[in-house]
Amino acid sequence: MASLMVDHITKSFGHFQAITDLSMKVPEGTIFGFLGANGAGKTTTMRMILDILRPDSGSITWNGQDVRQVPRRNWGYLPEERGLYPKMRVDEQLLFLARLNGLSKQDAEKELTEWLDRFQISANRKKKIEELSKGNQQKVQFLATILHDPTILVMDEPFSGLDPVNANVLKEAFLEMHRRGKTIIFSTHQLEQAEELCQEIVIINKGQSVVQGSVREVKRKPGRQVARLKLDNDPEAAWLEQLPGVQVTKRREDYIEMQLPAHLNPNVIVEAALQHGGIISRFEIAEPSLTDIFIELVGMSALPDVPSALSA
Amino acid sequence: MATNTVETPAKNAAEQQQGAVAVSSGAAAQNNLRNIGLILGREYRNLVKRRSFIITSVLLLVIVFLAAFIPTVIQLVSSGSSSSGQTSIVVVNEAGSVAGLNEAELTADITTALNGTSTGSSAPYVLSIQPQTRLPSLQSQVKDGKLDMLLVLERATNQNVRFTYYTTNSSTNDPNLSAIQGLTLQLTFFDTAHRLGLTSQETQRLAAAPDLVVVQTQPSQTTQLASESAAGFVLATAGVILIFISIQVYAGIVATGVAEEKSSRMMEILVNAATPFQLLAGKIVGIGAACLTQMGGLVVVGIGALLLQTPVQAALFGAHAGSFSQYLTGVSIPFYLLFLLYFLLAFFLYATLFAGLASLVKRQEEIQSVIMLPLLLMSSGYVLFFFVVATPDATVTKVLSYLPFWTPIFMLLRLAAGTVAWWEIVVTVALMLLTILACTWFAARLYRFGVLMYGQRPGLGQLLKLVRMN
Repeated sequence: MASLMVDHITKSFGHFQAITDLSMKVPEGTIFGFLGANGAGKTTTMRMILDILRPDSGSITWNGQDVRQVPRRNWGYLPEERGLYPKMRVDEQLLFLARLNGLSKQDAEKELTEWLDRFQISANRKKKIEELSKGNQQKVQFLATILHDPTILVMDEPFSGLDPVNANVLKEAFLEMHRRGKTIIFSTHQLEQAEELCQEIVIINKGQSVVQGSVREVKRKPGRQVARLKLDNDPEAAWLEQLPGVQVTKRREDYIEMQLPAHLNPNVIVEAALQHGGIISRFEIAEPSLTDIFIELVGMSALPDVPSALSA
Repeated sequence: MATNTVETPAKNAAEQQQGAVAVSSGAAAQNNLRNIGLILGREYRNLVKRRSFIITSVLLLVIVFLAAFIPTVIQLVSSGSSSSGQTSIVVVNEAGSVAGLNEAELTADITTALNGTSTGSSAPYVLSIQPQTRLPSLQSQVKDGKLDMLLVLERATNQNVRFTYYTTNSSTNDPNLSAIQGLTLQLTFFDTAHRLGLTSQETQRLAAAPDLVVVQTQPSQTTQLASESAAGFVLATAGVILIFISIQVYAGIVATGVAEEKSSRMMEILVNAATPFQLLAGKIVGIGAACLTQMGGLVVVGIGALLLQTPVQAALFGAHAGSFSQYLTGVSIPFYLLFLLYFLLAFFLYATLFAGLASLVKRQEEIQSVIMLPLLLMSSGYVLFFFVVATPDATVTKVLSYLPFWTPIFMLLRLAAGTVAWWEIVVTVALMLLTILACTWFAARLYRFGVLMYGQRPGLGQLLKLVRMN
């Protein structure tokens, strides 16, 4: 099966080791989530996939062909740092980029009209970028990435800075590209989004792969399950702490969340609750969220929103 | 790899990016010409449609158009109240017979002395002889500016003729004074000769024009008329100032454009679609074409306005108007073509350097500091120009004209002086082309890693190291 193969790549900048022996496989047609803290090496890896940077060692291939040989128009890149000519009109800008990426003028016009309609920004066609709202700028930026109908989309933090409505529009566009058989690699801090969209993910930390596979595989990897419990007459349920193997992780208004080893039957919790005379209004077995796994694997210090100057 | 000193690797990852070498995308190189064309077109349209560019162009056009009229206006003002362009002079003779001439002969003599061979409306002076009785009223006419000049001839017995000259002009700035001095000298000379007993024929022979032959020993100067070399000097100075200012402005636009693309992060998308060389070449040629459009417009309007001066002056001053088109025709067409050639070469040379260096800055405000070096180079040539402007044939000028960064300035001077062999033009142009190639190579390398580098600017040593890397 066709795929993008990142094979044992290493990259250093001066003395700084940005990427160490990173390998990953992105099957064709999947949405691939690229997760990691700031400075983990996501952007560097993406730039190497796009052949903007070259790895010191290792190789990156698309269907067995070195990425350097893959024609440019097969790639669509949405950089983390958004950038468009602020004083240029939306249509002129997008046509320029689409043509630069290999589209003929007629094709570019056709695609442009179609996508502006889909994104409901046709009214802004003749406006300058700087006159648009931030959300609309993001949409235009997204169009700049996909207008030339690339096979592989590489998107660096596509959802950052979008309000829920626009995030949803973008999500729909993602799924549309997915339906069209495109391969989408995107990095994100919003793990819920990755959980919702991705078939495969990789989490990297300090330039190294921590875990990768399908979302389900990654979730099972820690070998734990998560249970949520709510007792109407005993919201504190202090006795939970005494149960062997059970670890309370969160106390929320409407439930208490706990982790328990995979081998432990969750029934022990229900039994214990009944023994303590609790009235169970909610009990569920949940998978750990990617956020939990991310925090566990990468560590608290590397939480996505920790302010940091790093963006490598 | 560049070696950077880093305190904590994780903290300085962004800074470390300066060590990164963004490699050109091999696959994008396939569409070199197409991509350069697209980028070029965008840059051109972007610049010529910019409001500030249009306003500047219009202002410059107006200035150039008006500036062409300045000599005419000066001439109009200095020609004084006389609307016909002729100066009226009245002679009152109280001296009786001068040099044994009767009144008609005297009038003819004075007219010839003042006007030479010109007659009718082309003569600079209109002469009339008035009787003594009119003297007081004539004096007040000069005072009121109604009459330009009044010359009174008096004589005490057996003395030389005494001349009194009344004029509307101030003493420091009287274009007619030398004519009057010549006239009075001649009349005194003839009068004295007559009183010494010479016949009028003998007197005329005394005044015969000397047989003078001028031999110029410098061969270069025999090829050019005086008016030509004067026009050449004016054009060389104007051309050098024009090159100095416009290269600074135009190459500055290129530098700003690069920094703009970088600070607006447009570069992030562009590097995926085109190679650094394509981006650099498209930008420089595109902006160059836009600037050439502006320059071309100015030149066309300027020449048109200058050519317009001849009919305007003819209408204003009659036939003795100076021909300004001689400034244009006095210098040959090749001079203009070579000026254009050197101007273009200078633009490419400096614009390439500016663009490469501008790719290193984070914000537009920092441009000035990185382009300081090439700017100083250009300015020093400009300053040197004024030291050697009087000696276009000197060895030092020749040597300076072979230094590619200064070639346009000093070749222009030498071309205007008319002392350049054709092979010197070929050699200097070749040297400049080689330098441009070297600068393009250098700039493309700077650009390649500069455009994606947002960390601290590297020092000169690091720069050279980066440029040497593959």
